[in-house]
Amino acid sequence: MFFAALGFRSAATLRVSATSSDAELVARFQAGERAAFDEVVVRYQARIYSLCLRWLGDAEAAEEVAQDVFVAAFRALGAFRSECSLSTWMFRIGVNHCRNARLHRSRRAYGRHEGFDAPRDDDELPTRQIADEDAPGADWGVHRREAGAVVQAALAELDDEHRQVLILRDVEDLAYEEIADILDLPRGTVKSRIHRARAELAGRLSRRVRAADVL
Amino acid sequence: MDTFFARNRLSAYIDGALPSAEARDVEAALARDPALREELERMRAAVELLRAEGIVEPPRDFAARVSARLDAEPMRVGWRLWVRQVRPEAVMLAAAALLVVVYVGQRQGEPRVVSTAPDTVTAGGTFGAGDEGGQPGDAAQAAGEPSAQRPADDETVEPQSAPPAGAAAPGGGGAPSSAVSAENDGVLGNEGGPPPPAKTQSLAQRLPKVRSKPSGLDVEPWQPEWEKEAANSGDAGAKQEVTFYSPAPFRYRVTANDARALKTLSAIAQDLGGELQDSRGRPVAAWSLEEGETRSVRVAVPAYNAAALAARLRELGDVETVQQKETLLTDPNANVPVQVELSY
Repeated sequence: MFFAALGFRSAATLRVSATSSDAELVARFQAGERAAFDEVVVRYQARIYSLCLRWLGDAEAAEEVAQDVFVAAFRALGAFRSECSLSTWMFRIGVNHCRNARLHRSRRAYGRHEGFDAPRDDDELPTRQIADEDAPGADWGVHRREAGAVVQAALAELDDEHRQVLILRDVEDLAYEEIADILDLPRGTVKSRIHRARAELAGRLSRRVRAADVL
Repeated sequence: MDTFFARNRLSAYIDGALPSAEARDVEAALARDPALREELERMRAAVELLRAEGIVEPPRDFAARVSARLDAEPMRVGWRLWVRQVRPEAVMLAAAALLVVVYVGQRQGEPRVVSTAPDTVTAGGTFGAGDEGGQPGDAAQAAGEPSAQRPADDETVEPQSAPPAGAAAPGGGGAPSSAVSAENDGVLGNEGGPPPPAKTQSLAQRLPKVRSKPSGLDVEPWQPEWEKEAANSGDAGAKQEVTFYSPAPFRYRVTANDARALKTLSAIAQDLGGELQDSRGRPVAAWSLEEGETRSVRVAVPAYNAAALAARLRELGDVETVQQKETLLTDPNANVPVQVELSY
């Protein structure tokens, strides 16, 4: 088994990954070397998992969808034609899976960001999570950990278009061009969408913090 | 730059994605407008908060779980890569196998002209013994076997098979003639029409059969070029697969009522889409028959009109069937040579 000795294999993988480009991994996989995909998993697991976690807001669902992303990539990598980077391709699969998963979950009315215990509107503010105003770096009056819950709650309220560009830009730290490639949008559209998404997120966060301060 | 334009560039300003001139304009607008500065600070704080979340490591055994799921997945590589990896010899072998399959498939789909002859026919009721000049459909019944009860798969019998007792004696009232199997009804009984679709037969029955050249005929059997090459190369295995095309599977002896029987036969041949030739394949030169004279001619008609020709021979006089051989045609529209000995 590939991960029988996870620690050793991880170290070995990291050493190989330092010298193997994405293109080399793809070539090795397409030449029939299955272990090359294990390196792809190690290389992208954190980024894909983060994408899923920020998108879905639920750790359990995020892991399941992230696994699905890698399984789908495994099935399709043999036909990958390198018309885009492996990173872009992986994120495309991730975005599609997250979009579908969220749609599926909303249809089933399943989960309301249980992992973050997030409120749905200003009447359900996470008052217990609001820290005292003396916490370090608490311009918003929240602890860092609890700030994460607030951010996730605000993120969950955005529509998919805004959420996805914010995750790709500010969580995944991707450039405008790469986001444009992933979403198949013009660069200008990506830029303006990011602006609107940030403005909306800032407004929602501001309202939440002000309300919490009042409380 | 007014506040409106500056506000729309705040996000790009945070990312440092503005051209320097625009960035300066935004900074000028920010210096003038406190509300815009507050908006910038809110947006910057939101971005920093979001970025502070950053990349989250998955659960420790995430990769192992993915690997476990992938264990059940077959590796799939693109067809281009697969093609690149295929050896040319394998491609040639596959192409050869495909040709064989196509060839056998075509042979299976060909219409077959199957008939009986007193000197060659048949066992197991495959070809019914017909009455003299009888219709093909009558033949089986005359042999005591309703054709409808015979399954198509039993109809084809090798010419080498032992003839039934009723078919052993040619000529006379008991001589079989024009006897055609039920399968043949669809082929020979289709006067002037297109060839009907071939009936389903077992693969064994459709396999090529080796036939000998009938005696007394001076036409070389047709062979495809590749079969000739195989035979000439001494490849015994290939030779066994050769199907010899019998040049005159049908032979009839006609006692004509009229000295102009040849002319009548020529007209019949033309009606049926065929032509009349002498025994050497040349155009017939003399048309009238002298009393006591016997002329051997050949009529080449489309296979689906062979039965019609046999029936119309009775317009010339008394007809005796000498030979009706099973013939496997390579072309459904191929002409079947019919040998006719006309006596007057």
